[in-house]
Amino acid sequence: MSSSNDTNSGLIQVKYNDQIVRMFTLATIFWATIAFLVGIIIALQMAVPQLNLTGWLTFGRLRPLHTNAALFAFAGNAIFAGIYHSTQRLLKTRLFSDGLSKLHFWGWQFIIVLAVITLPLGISQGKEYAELEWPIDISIVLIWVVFAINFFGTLLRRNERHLYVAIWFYIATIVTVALLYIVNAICIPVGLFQSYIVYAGIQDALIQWWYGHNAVAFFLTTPFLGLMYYYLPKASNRPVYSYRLSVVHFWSLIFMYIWAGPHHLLNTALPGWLQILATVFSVMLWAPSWGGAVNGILTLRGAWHLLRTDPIIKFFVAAITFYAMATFEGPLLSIKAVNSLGHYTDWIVGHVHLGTLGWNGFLTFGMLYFIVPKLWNTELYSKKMANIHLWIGILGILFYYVSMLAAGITQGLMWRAVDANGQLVYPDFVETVIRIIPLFLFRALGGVLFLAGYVLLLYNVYKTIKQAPKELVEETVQVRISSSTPIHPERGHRKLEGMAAAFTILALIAILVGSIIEIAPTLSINKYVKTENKVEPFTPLELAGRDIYVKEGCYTCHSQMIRTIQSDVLRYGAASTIEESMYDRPFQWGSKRTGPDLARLGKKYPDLWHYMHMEDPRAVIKESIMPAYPWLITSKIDFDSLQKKVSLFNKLGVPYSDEDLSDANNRAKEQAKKIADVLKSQGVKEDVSDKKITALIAYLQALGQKGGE
Amino acid sequence: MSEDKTPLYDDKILEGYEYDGITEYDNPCPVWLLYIFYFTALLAVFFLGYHFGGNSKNATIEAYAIKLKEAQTQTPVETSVQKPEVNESELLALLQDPDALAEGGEIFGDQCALCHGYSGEGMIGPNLIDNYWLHGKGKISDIAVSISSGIPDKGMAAWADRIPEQQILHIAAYIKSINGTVTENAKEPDGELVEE
Repeated sequence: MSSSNDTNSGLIQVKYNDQIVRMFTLATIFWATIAFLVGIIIALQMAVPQLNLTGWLTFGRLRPLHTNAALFAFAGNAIFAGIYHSTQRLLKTRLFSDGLSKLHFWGWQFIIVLAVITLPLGISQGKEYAELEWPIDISIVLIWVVFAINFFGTLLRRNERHLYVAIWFYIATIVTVALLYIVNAICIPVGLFQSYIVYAGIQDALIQWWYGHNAVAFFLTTPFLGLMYYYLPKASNRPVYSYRLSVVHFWSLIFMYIWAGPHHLLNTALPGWLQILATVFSVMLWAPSWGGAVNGILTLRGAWHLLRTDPIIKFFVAAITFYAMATFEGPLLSIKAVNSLGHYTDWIVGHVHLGTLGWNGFLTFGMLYFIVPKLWNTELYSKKMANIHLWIGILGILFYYVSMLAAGITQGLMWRAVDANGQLVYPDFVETVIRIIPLFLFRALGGVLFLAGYVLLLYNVYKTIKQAPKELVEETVQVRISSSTPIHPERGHRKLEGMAAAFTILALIAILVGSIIEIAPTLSINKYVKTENKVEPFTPLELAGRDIYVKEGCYTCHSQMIRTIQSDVLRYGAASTIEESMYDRPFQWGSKRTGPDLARLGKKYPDLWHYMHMEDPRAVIKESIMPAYPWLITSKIDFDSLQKKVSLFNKLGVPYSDEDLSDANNRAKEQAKKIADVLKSQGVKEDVSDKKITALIAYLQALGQKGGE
Repeated sequence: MSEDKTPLYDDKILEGYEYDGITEYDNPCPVWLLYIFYFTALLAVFFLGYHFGGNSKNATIEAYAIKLKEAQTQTPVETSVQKPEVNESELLALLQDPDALAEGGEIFGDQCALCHGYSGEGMIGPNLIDNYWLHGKGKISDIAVSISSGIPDKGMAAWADRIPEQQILHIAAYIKSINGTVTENAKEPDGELVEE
């Protein structure tokens, strides 16, 4: 764009696009505040249920907002800022297009605003970290494509023959995230704000966790490793410890990570071979993950004095340490026996935050302290403040992690405690909740500390930018155009580093192998479904209730999957089968049991119990921490859309009767009237025959009652 | 700048490759990291062998089924001795057995109180402390039958497959023991008055 040729010396002038980096930097800082704040609110809601003030502020709706904001808004903007900043410098060229860069920025912020509006309204697909409805899904894919064009376009016009290791990680990120997101989001809309995912039951479970796990791998790990490979050597001014190690750990990491998804489904109805593959690859991921950490830490050999003086290096070292801890704990939790204790508990929540707060958070903070002064052409306002931020932040993470680890193991042990007679020691679920509520408070304190440190960053950045010169100039460098043919003949990986397209295709193949081997067999679901286990579909009214269950985010606290573990079976009934959820779109196996499993809830309590429980859980279970759902008693069931939904499900292979197909609306009304009449005879004053509560009760009473055991 | 990058160890910088001032050493992977990888690879072989090596494809599920069966066969051993012909007078003896009542009370608090109130005063389910009975005549055996087979029409679950019989008898005895107590907010009587 603004490069002028000086043919005599082979030198050209390159002006970097720093404006876009500044914009993404500010967006990162802004959205991080929101993500952290919502995190603290939902952490407190778990200890004090009265904080679920209104419908759109309940835990079930705010938790998706927290995860999406942390992932797409905070980490997303940080990745874009870092990638755009480092890629231009590593490739010695300006970004491909200023227009696309702007479109990327504003498109992405628009998507985040849509998420902030729709998630609290309960507009959700009910799939973790992929809750956003289909119009937003499409926007995300389009903007991601804009990003990809802008990035690969920059690659094509690079003035540096070889791609540095950071770029490899960026390539893997862009290609894989696109694939994961698109495949996981394929759905059929039934309105502007609602859709059904095409996969059912076990298929959906597998694809969701292939996506969910690799969102961690390719959104929170690979791009941040790329950032580490640029900013750590830059900030410490040391050569990278080992080129060979970066080659080996890059390829092994991206090849193996993609297989590990089903470790989120250990001990469930998932076929055994998939569970064992997940365990095997997760365990073998330990060394490739540590490859990045080792290469980072050893790069600092000879520069350890910086660890005393430079807050940026301190943040990076802490981030890499937390990364190493989390990537050791991950393989550990993927061993079936360990997983049977930790799964569904707060241990997993602690594990995730070790990675997000420690690794992603601290690496981003280090990067911000490094690039903000550079981008605004000034010095950091206060090093001391950055140091205090570091220590408060570390304290916050430790409070968070230790309390969640203790809560998870405590509750896990209480769930599985069986006495000499083979009976549960703590059959009452709420007993196991009361025990860990103090730990929930400690966790919230950890979050508050983490945010307090972050407020220091806000102030520090504000003062830094304020002292910056008014006229910001974009950095301009003289670049000697490297000859298109290398000086020495190159072989192997060196040769590959000069071939961007071939590199990208190879990376794509590396992640496709595991994906195809694990997912393809389940696409013909019949392979795993035993025909002798006949399953009845949900009635139209139950379907309406199920929609409410999904929209309210009940899956964020309740599983519907009784594992093949003795204590699960003792507590909840016979282990869940693949057949039982074969028509479930989306699947609701869940990932956390803040409340009990609901797979066989049906017929356990009378309708009136559910009515009172939803109106105010503490009216029937004194110590319950579940939010109250009084608005379900006043808002109406959407009967009109049922016809459409039932015929869609029928087309997708759910065996509805002719009566249901032709008259779904009225059949739902009939069933609702029956339930409402009984409730009335038992003393419920309002007529609830057209209210959401009735549909939800119908659904809850149908859980585990449809056969397929 | 270049002074800072003088190798401190025996590291050799890869010449000819520099990216925005970043260079790389030609160091090998640390040996101990390779050992970690070999160790996890061995573990992987072990896991695969453990899973696929057995005669059955679903060893884990079968292992769980065996364990579950063991657990189920454990309890009846105690109860089956006392099971035959329980008559009401024998059951009344339970009222004098503090351990049985304590156990019954504990389970009542966990499971029954959700509908019948923590003092048996009735809430969603009927009052259990007055002398009016809907099902049976308020004998311990009547109460035990209601608990075991449930009252499906009214929404009460059958507990026979969730709670062992001996414990159901203890719950029934506990309910009998709190009959006649008085508490605030008791639900109004329902059913047939049974004078004792």
